[in-house]
Amino acid sequence: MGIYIKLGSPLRVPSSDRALARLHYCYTAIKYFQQPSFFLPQNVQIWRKAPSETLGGTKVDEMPLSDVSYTFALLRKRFSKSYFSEELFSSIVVFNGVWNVDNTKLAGFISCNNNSVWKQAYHDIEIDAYGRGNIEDLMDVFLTNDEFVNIVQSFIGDISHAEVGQPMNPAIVYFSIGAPEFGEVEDLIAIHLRDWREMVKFLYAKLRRSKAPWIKEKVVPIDRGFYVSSLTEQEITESIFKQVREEAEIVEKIGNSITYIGKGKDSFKDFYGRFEERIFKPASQELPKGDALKKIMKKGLEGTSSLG
Amino acid sequence: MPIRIPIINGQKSDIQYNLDDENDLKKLKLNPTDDGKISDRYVHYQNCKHAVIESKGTTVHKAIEQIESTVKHLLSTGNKVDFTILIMKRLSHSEQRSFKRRKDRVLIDPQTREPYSVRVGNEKRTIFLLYTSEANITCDGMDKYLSPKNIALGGV
Repeated sequence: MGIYIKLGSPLRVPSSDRALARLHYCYTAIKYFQQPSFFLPQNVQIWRKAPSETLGGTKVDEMPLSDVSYTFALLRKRFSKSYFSEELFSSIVVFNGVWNVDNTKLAGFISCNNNSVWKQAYHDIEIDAYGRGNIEDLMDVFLTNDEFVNIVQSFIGDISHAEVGQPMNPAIVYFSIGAPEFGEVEDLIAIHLRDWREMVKFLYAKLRRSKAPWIKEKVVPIDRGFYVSSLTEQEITESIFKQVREEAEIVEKIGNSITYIGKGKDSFKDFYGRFEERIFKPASQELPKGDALKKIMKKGLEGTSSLG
Repeated sequence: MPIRIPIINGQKSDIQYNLDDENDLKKLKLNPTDDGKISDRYVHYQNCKHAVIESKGTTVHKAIEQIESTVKHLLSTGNKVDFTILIMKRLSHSEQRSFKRRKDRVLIDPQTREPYSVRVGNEKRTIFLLYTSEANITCDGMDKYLSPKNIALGGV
């Protein structure tokens, strides 16, 4: 499955602490998937720029991974010492191993993306498998597992508990086929974020990408924060959100934050379509167009000059 | 779902190896347990050009790593590889910062405009990117790029 973790913090965190936080959550993920023997880590590689030569990367180091705790202690030491070094800012630490879910074996990896370009595409931590035969990625294996919802929930539980004492916490966790992006519902299977308002922001990001005239004319000219908060502060939005979510067969799991889990590969696409029809469209119907706003502003300015 | 093998300049492949099939791997002297990063097909075209095809990539970096590993294994066991083809549903928004398809379907780095290629020794194997939505995956546009020095499919 692709699991992608995006870390966040309300405070400014030094790069060395960010790299250490990524390692910490990587360690938590490996420990979680090691327990039911889903993932057997075999070695760790440190790459500069990208995790393969064809992608323009250079392998800096490689070591076997027999004792996970010991290897992580070594890596922590290494990253603590290399503050401001190139390795810290451009590295991708890849824990290679074998996934074994329901007797399906696949090569895979859990990686810490310290390289900023790589992080933009694949987030702070990427967990996935290399496709083989009819299996495209890890998501195909997990989706057929009856325990999928429980796996998502317990994984989120472990990752959330790992926040204690950390300068960064998992802001968003995506379960997706392929690299996810905020506002991209295609191939999204599950998502973990702060609360339902954050999910509305996510759907709004999708709306903004649309080229439909009513969105360009009426939604885009309005400040994002103002538009979203004006919607989420209405009680009716929350009840329609719940209704639409249930219609799209998306399960909600509430802990300290919220996880939404789709029943199928198209659940989130369906959710967005319904939300757009029932919330975004009617709420934007009576909004003035951007041109009309400009005219009002122009009129106001002309009034000022005539006063002068 | 069956894998659609690209037709290049009207040329179809006449020999195909399924790299998920242990018998085919044996024929190519490949070890199925090497590193698990393996592409979907190894094909031979009528003009004696060989290609590695990764057809179910969900993220570009994974697909490229699989292509790279397969090419290296094939070459080390005495097989020939002239070029590689990556077939994807689409390039995700987030990946478009690092990967772009040129007009001639070559996968490039949009920052440097340099093509991505699998390098073994001094030789480079170009990576072509095709989308599954492209009808018949016929690659007539490739011939502009395929100089005799490179792939020369369909007689450039």
